[in-house]
Amino acid sequence: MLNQCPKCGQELNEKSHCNSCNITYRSFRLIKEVSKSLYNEGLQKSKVRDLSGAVESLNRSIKYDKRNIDARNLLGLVYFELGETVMALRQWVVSQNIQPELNVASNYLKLVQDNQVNLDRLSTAIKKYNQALVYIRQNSRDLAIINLKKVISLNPKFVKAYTLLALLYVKEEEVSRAKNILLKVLLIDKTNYVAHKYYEELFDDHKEEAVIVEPQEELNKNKKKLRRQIAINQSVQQFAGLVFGVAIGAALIFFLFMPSRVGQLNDEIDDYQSKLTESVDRVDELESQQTENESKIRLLEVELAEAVEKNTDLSEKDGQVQQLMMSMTNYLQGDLVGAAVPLSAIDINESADGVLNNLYTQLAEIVFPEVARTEYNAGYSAYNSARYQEAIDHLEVSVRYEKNASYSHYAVYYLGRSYQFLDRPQDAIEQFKYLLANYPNSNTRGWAENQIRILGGTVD
Amino acid sequence: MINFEEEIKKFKPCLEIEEAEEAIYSYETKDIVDILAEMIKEMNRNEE
Repeated sequence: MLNQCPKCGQELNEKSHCNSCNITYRSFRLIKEVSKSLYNEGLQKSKVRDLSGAVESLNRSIKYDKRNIDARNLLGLVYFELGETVMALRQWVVSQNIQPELNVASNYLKLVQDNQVNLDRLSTAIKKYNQALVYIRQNSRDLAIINLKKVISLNPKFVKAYTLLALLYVKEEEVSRAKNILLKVLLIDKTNYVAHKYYEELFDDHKEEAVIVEPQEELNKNKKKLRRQIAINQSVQQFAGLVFGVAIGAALIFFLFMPSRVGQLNDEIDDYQSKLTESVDRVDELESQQTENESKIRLLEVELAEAVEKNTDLSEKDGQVQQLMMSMTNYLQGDLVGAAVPLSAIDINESADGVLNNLYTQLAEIVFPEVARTEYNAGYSAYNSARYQEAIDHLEVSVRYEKNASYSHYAVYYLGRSYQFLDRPQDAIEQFKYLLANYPNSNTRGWAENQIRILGGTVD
Repeated sequence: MINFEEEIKKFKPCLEIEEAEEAIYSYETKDIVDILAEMIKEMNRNEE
């Protein structure tokens, strides 16, 4: 029997009672036993991938004893396995605070925090998941689906993202895709309540399509059949064993290899479809902007014609007018970069003409942000596909034409990263320092500082 | 039949990694022993 309180460390009295905590040692020991028992239950569930069940048991375990380090660390691992990065970090940090020495949580935290690239991926996955929820609220389910596919590629165990994607597929009446996604969830977390619920409801609603059989059930059926055959006689038993082996082999190939191949092909089809949807959306968007802006341009043309007529001094500004005309012509032909180049060549300070200034400003307001945004999107896409020179070409244009958009700091950051990947450390450092100097509220500042240090630079 | 509108309400935004620090500080770490101790103290105060 202990003579010190396991909770506060004070001496127990003759009745093994802690006067400070007002609890007897026996009660405390019982509570600890319950916590351990719940930890064991959580461990068993984790081993058979009943992760939802494990989360429940382990959360109860630490409710009984917050100092149950094993339970807390395992809970963090299970959360991490479910793609819940912040929940996992929270458990490990608390665990480390309770027991700073000889605690495996420190290793887990080190593993996660030392791999900055992976941490960035996990962080981006969470941001994109949250953005997908916003898109859904705005009724842009197609954009939400694209975002969620990206989330899953960044963090392939993000269970919430899978279930949300499945729900969107259900809404879009793409039942077989929804089922495939739900099966992926059940491979990660066998007892995921939401996935089971959706799957069962889909199964009820589309019985004719429900051709997917649980692998375990199928194996159980084969085993039962085999047992009956064994009972007939010994010679049949050997033959049945052979048949069973072949059946199991075939079943394994069918259930393990085929679904992954089919899943892979489906993923590829999904990718192509999402790219197609993206392109179609982009074309629609550009067409509607084109129509809207054409009317503005016509108005500007009329104003320009008037200006040419009225201003006797325009001969001196022929160059600027020509640049302006060239810019407008290119814009009307859909060549945004072609419109931006002559426009940027105009030195508006030299022009004392109010009408020209006005025309320049209006055209610049249309062209520069549009070019910058398009170039940023193209640059970001190239960066994500590791086509860094292409990314640099686009992002340099984006950064040149727009510095105050919501994405401008990202453009600078990814430009720096692209330089970094192409072994141009000085250019990369220059971009990261530019980011630190000009975007005080950017959430990429921490990353930029890290990259500067990695490249051997110093942060002021 | 899955009710999309009802189901979607159940999906909440995830905590972002930048918010992890705040989430850790605000995390309630009381266990049943703490609660029991508080209850006993409260009862003792009431008896006095």
